[in-house]
Amino acid sequence: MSTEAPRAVMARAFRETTLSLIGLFQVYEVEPDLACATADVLAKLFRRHLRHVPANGDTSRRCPLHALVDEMDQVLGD
Amino acid sequence: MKSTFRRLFAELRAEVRSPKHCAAFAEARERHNAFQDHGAVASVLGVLADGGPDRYAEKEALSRALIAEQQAHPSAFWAAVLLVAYFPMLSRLRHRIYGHALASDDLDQLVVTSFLGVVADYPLDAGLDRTAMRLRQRTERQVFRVVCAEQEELLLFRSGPPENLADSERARWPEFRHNGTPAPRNPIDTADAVALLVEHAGELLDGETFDLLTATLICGRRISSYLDGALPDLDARERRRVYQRIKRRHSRALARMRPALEHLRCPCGEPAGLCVCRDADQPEEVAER
Repeated sequence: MSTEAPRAVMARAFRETTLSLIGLFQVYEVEPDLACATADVLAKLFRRHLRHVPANGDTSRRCPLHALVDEMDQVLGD
Repeated sequence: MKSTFRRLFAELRAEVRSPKHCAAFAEARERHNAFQDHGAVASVLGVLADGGPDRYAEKEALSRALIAEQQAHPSAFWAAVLLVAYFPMLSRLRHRIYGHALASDDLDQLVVTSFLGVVADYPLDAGLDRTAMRLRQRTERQVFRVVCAEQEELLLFRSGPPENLADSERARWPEFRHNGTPAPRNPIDTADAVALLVEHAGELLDGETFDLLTATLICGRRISSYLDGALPDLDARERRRVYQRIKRRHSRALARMRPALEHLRCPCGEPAGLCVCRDADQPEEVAER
């Protein structure tokens, strides 16, 4: 999908994908390392397609997938 | 004595004495000083069955060691040992329950699951003494809370106006999976359940709350189990504080979700809903597909 696509539609699709992964990872109790790696990959794709620069927030002790959903919510709220 | 309850414990007694659990007990003996003088779990159960007051300290230490073991390494074996050890208390409790709101087998299960729930949540780090008494009190409270609620609902069903019944059903929606019910392991069912939650409630929830609701609604995990997985390093005081915060967040999220899921309830008027009833006025009648 190109970057010309509406940001909101794309951000919403990324958000639903991330939520689905959070749910599946919870059901299958995956290792935190896999959740971190998945969040990294998704975040890179999300930021590249939406040309988004993440705000510097306190992400210590937080699941990176949860933080990524918050970041997507920021884009949707803009 | 209820024969099913007695039969259940007879089976549990046989199970805990099985040689296949010797290794588990030997490993636990390395971890707990209270087990040092005992060569097998039968010896532990023998001490706990001693009704005299002279061995209070020893029995207290053994109870705490058994609870710690079940909390740290939850297994059917340690659950069975605790149930057998506390059988006299559980049996007395079971026979104090009157009423027709729950079937006899359900009452047996209620007593057992309530006790194991209390064991799972028991705050060993809080420095409490008289563990056996506290287990009994907490289990009684848990059991009678459920029995009273069922009794009230039965009364409402029999004598109350239909509007009250509808309100009572709405308050429980969406329902939790029963404790211990495993999450769907079939990948297709799992994907369907997660997709349903994303589709209908995803927009209302942040990532952390979605994770929490997946754990309770889809996986059937207790909030305390969710907390252990999400934040395993908390000390006891912080854990209690975070637990209360998560519990409140969980309740608020459920309340927020209800309107969004309302059209999926049975009976529903929308063809896209989950309800498979042919007639919206007769929810018991399930259409063949």
